[in-house]
Amino acid sequence: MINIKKFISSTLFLISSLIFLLNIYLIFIWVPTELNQGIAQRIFYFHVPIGWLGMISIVVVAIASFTHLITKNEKWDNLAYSSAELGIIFASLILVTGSIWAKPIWGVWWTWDPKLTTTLILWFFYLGYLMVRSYSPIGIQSKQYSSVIALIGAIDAPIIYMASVWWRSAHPNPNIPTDLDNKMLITFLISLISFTILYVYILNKRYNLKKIESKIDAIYRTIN
Amino acid sequence: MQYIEQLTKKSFLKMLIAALIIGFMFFFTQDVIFSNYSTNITNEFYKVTDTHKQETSSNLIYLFAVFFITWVAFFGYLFFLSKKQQDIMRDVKELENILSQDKSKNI
Repeated sequence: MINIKKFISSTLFLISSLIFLLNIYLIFIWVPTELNQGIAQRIFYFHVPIGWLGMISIVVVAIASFTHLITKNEKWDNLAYSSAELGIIFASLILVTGSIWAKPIWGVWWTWDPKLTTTLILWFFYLGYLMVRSYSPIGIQSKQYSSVIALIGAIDAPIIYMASVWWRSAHPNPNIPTDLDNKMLITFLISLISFTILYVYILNKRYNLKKIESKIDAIYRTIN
Repeated sequence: MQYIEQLTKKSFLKMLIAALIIGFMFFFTQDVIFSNYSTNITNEFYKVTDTHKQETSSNLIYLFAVFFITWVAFFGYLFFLSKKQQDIMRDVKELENILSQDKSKNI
């Protein structure tokens, strides 16, 4: 009898790998170069999907934390923690890739643009969540404190999304231009799908590990 | 079905795919990274002028930096996960030892 979970995990890995190979070809070879920004515009095919997943992660953390607060079920907390760990990686990558794009286009590595500032705040929320989990004594209280941080952090996600609409920002509005070249649109969508599949694959891996970690911790507590 | 079952059990398949990804990354990107300018501008609308050529070629390093940092972050995290897995295996062995010691004491 085939192990369904392992089969799903392997399939996700295989699909993710194949789609990423295609993605690399599209970004570096196939897609046309943008007139004004040149090659640096291709950074968007990494930066935007990473930004999208950074925001999705905090929403997953918040929903899982909220459910954990209500049900007290350990599995929701495991999911929240796993997504927070991935979230800080994505949030860090948003800031780093954004800075690398900003240098040739804006001439600076960093500016206090509303979108950048709110993204930095999101990064601090992730950091706060993980620090509370690391430094609080093991038990139900640290999980509750971190859940509250996640819920407050989730408020930042729509603010990041709407920052360029609500305030004067150098970032474009969060919608796909209607006159966007087809090749650019296809590359962007494939990039978005490939990063999302990678997120699901790694989240699944981390969740399974966290589940075993929690069980081992519980056994140690029983023994001691 | 049995063939798929066997494939899922073999971890070397994952390593092979990872190696293929890295290989393809360099294969696909070498033209862009090592050339002065990408020649794939086929769309009339996106044609660039000579002055832009200079700018775009100098921006290649930024694109490659993003590409490199993104993958280093992902592979670094996967490495962290594999270390975690090793720690868990060590904990399981430790628990097994504790259990076997308890059993021998009871006997």
